Amino acid sequence: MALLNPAALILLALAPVLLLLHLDRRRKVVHRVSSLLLWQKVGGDGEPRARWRRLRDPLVWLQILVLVAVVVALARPVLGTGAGRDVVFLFDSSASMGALEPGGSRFDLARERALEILDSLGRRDRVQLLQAGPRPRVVTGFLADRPELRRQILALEPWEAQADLPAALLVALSASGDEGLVYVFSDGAGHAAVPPSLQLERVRYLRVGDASDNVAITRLTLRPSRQSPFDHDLFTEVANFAPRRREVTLVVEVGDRVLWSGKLALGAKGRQRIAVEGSLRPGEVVRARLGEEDALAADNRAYALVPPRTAVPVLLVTEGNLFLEKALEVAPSVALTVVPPRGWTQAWTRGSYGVVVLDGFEPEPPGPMRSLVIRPPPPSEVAEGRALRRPELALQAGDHPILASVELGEIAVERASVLAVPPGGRVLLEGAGEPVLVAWEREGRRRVVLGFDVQASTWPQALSFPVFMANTMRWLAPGGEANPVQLSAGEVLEWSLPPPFLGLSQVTVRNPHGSISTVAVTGGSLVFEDTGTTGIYSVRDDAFEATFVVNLFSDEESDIGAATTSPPGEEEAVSERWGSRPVSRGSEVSLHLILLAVLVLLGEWAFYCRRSAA
Amino acid sequence: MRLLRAGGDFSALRRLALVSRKRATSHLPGRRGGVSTGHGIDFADYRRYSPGDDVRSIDWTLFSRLGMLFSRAFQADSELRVHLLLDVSTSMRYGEADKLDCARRLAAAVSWVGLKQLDVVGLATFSDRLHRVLPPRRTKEHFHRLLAALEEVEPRGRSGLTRALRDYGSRAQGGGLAVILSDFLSSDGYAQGLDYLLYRKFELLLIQVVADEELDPPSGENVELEDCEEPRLPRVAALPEVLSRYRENRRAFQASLALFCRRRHVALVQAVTSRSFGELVCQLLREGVWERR
Repeated sequence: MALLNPAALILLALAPVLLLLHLDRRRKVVHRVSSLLLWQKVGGDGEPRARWRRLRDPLVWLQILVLVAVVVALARPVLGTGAGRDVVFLFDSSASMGALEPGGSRFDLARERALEILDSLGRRDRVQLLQAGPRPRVVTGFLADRPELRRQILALEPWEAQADLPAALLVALSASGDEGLVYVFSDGAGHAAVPPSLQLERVRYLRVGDASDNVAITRLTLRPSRQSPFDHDLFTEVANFAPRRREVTLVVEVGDRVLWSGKLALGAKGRQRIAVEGSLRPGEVVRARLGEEDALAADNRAYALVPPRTAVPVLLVTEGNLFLEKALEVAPSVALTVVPPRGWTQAWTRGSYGVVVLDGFEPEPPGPMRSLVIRPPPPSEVAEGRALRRPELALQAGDHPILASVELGEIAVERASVLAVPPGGRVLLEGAGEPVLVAWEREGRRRVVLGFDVQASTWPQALSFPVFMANTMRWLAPGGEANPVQLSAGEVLEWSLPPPFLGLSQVTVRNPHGSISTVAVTGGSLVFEDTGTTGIYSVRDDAFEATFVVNLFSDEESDIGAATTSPPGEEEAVSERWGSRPVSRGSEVSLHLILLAVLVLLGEWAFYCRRSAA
Repeated sequence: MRLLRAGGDFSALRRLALVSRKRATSHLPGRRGGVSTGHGIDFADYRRYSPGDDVRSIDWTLFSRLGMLFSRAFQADSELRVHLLLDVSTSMRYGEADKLDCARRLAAAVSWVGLKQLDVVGLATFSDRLHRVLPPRRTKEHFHRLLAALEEVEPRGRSGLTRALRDYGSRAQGGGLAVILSDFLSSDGYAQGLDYLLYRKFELLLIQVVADEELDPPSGENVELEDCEEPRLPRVAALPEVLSRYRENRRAFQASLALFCRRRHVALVQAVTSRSFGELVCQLLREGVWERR
């Protein structure tokens, strides 16, 4: 037997109170006698014994029986629940769950439903909370602690991002086991349709919300103007997802400067696009907003950031290699400096370079830099000393970023050194079965070693050489290209810090709500996942500061009236199928106990009347 | 008390007289045989004639036989001094048929019978001390004073037989019959006071007034008993086993009082309040408190 409301058992404390009332009841019949002379000789312990004798009164125990029956009934005993079940509450936490409904947001309604179901579960049932956001989030493990679960449910908040409900449902089904039950609280909008393989009997969908009145900014993009290098073209798209005509005000502004403002008349399910040209400086944030409120506020604003211009400083150490210089000069975001080997020490100590290209030269010790080493002079940690004459080259790792879009074709190499592959290294190119191009990463430092002189080959004449060089520069210094500054909500931010900040170990990220989180930086790269809120984020350290923006830009989320979750999975239909199966609630016996209490009460009353008459 | 004043209930008592085991010691004439000789109707003895004796007392028949003059001596009729001692302590106001009511009706009856027999009757009310004392008289007005005093009696005070009886015994002169109407439930006991009266040559008649509720007291789980004289005393729960032991105590007390009386040749009568006045009169007659004349 289990109790659904064990807190009610505290009322059993009334039983001693009832006993005390009987022991010390005020309704005593005081009878005056002529003298207690002969009574006192009987003994002075009459009163205490009289008190305890009252406990022999059957009425006392009948009343206590009534009290116990009522209290146990209030505790809602359930018979036959067994060991309890594992239940997963899966909350669709997509942006559309923030849509306003008459009773609050959809997420508020989902919380209420979840709390109702939580109260109706058996005491031994364990519940796990999951959130379906851009990525499934496990809020709690399986808990039977109802107050803690209530607290956790009330603390849940939706994201302003698109949710991957099928992935979260898969996690929920895995967690709940074969006999577990999964409650999905969702509005049915925004996420991809749940595949039929996941529409199981033990999945119960509880749909919340049916509002559909929403107008959204679905696009805000910037690109450099083709007419003027100082201007940008701005494209904005506004969509009406309501089944009726809407007229909205769109304002596009930069700081206090309004770039465009006007009213848009949108038909039912209609869209309009606005193109604006403006002079923008790198790092400026363009904001677009709608003047009217609707059910979903997250898509009524959008942000665009003018990307900052950055270039990776590259140091080329060579006695003279025209092919390398030209290939590096045409590589994007590369600021090239060329020095002979004798000028290496001075250049390295005075300058700050993100990538070093060493042509037939290798300093001692190699140094903690990201480097491309061409034809390393022996002895070297990677050069075995063996040489190959006119080896035939073959790609070994075509999936590696360095070899992306690289088609070697027929390349003739006069002489190549056989390379030793360091731990963690990967052979990209082989000559006669021996490694001639190796890349590896160690402690955040990347190195690429090419085992032959490009001047003694036909490779510089091939189209693949500048591609190879550009790929290599991009792989060695990913921050050399502009980091993404405009993300979709929920998208993971992956940044490579520019060379001056490669030594940073952590940065702080401030989200649009002002909360600050610390993010570790590894090898100049940072990964930030918590982009569930739309708005402007700032990344900073003592000397480093950058900005990125997050927008919703999801037709699926903004179309809050559409439901991709099909009705067959909803609660009513499913509950019929569950009718013949044992559910966790078992059978409550509260009503039986109440009837027992009433019967005992009637018996007690009859007994009292009969005794009074006697 | 109108019945007392009217005297209608006492008509059956006209032929009754109080029984006293002792000779009357009073020198006043009455209807009882006294300890002295004199004018009376009961022959007592012969004695030699002395000059000055009443010549009517000479027994001439004896003179004819013996040739000597003898005078006949008769027992002189004397009065009996009856002292009514009425307990008016608070405990006497108890019972559905009031103990005090019963006691003063009996007191009135005894005084009526006594006065009818030309006895002198006095009244004293007491609790733990004497309250009112009417010295023994024999007049008709005195009887009315007695009735008025009995009517005005109000229960008060605690029971205290020893002090009250000692006070009265030291105050009353000439002994006589002390009729004590009380429940004898005194915290200081009854023996010392009664013994003192015996020491003072009183003949005692104890009328123990008992209420039905004392013989069969109430009981129950919720019933608590309170002393009407001492409400501050701890109450006693009237549980069945307590009641059983009370009855044992009651029997022991009664037996003790009876033994006390038997050893001292003291008459003891138990008057239960639920009985009618006639029944009580018959009971007193049956138990020899008074006799027919």
